[in-house]
Amino acid sequence: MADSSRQAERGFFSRMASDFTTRAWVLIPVGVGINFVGGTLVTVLKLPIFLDTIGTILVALLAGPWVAAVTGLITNLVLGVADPTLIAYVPVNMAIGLIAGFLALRGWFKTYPKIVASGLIIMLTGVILSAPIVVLVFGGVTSSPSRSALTAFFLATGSEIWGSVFATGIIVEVVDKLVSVFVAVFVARAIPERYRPQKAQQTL
Amino acid sequence: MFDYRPGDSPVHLLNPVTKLAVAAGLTVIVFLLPNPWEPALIAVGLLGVAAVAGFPGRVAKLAAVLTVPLLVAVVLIQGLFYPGNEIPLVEVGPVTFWAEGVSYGLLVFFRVLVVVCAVLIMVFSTYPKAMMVAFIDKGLSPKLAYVFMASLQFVPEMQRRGRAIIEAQQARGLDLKANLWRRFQALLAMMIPLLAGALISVETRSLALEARGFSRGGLRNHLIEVPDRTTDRVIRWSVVAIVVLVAIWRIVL
Repeated sequence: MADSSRQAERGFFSRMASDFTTRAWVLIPVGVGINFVGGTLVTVLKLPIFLDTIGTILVALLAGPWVAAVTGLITNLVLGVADPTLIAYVPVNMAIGLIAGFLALRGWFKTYPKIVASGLIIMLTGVILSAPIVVLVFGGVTSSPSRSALTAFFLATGSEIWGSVFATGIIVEVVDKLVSVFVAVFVARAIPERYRPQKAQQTL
Repeated sequence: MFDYRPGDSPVHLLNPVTKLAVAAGLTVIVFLLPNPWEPALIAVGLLGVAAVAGFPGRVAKLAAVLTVPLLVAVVLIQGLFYPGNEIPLVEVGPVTFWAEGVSYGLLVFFRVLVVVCAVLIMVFSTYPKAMMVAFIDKGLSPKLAYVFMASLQFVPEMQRRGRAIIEAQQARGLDLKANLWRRFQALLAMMIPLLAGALISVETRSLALEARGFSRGGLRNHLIEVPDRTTDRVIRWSVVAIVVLVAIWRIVL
């Protein structure tokens, strides 16, 4: 796109701005839509996971960390219109976009062992950032009853609240984020060359 | 998605920025207040506001659906395991519910309830386009506003496409009740066409947007005007003042 070449001077902010081409802006609603549909497909297929960040990770692969962070922001704001409790998790989704994007730029989505490692790093980012929100805002529970039950189990065995929420997060998220990362990579690779954004040449 | 209820109540006539400021102010206030009955009173007040706006039932119902699971979980967990538990409230067999924990659980619940009600009232009483115009007038980037609006419209469209693809794949022999591994594979069979289709439309959309001056700078005119009245300014400054007062009261006392 013409606007990206014009801003090709050096400097952190202009490099950041150069990621936001018109195509990248249009990609954001697609990412938001995929974040949402991931949840729907999981319900249809009765899979025991959430897959609510595939869109963010996918945008990270196709357009870099900054665009992915905006995708995370907009996802939780837009879905927050129907369920305001999701607005509290805006920082989590943004951080997942940033981390996934930086990992992608450094080639961490190119080989299978690295994809697994990326999935684990993204999972840890999510768990570390969501734990304070879960504990301080929601008193240790989430809207998922099974997740709250698991936290209660850890509390009953004598752990304190932070440890319980953290352990619950890791158990629940580890499969979810690994599957999300692999789905995002497979889907991004399956995109026909013609429609693949430029950034994807660097990240896949 | 954006469940706007048209109307001409005083709530509808407020500037969207004012409604956001009130929602944000209430969020800060309820997290500063230490007793459950204080946010509970605010929640009742908000239901009153919803009644003025003409959709109390809708707000109450959706807020209940969203927060009652939280209420049950948080009262159970905090009632049993709150670190400051001293006074027993109820004993059920070997299990004791403690007064402090139940009180803290209720505090968490009412805080969340206030935020949920405030946001729902804002959403139900604001025409989405008017909201974006008001935010752009206050300095929000028009591109971010576009992305927000486009996402609002895109989510239901993606859901429709998703459903169509599921049916198309079922017609080609996809089994929704196969074993776990097969169903994971089915996930890819749905995601790939969904994304490929969406990316093709990205191409078209970005050309269409470019043709309409999307990446141009400069001033923009809007099709609708969103008035910012004196009432709005008074409410906004009162919110700021109340937040500051509550903060001072909490820190000093």
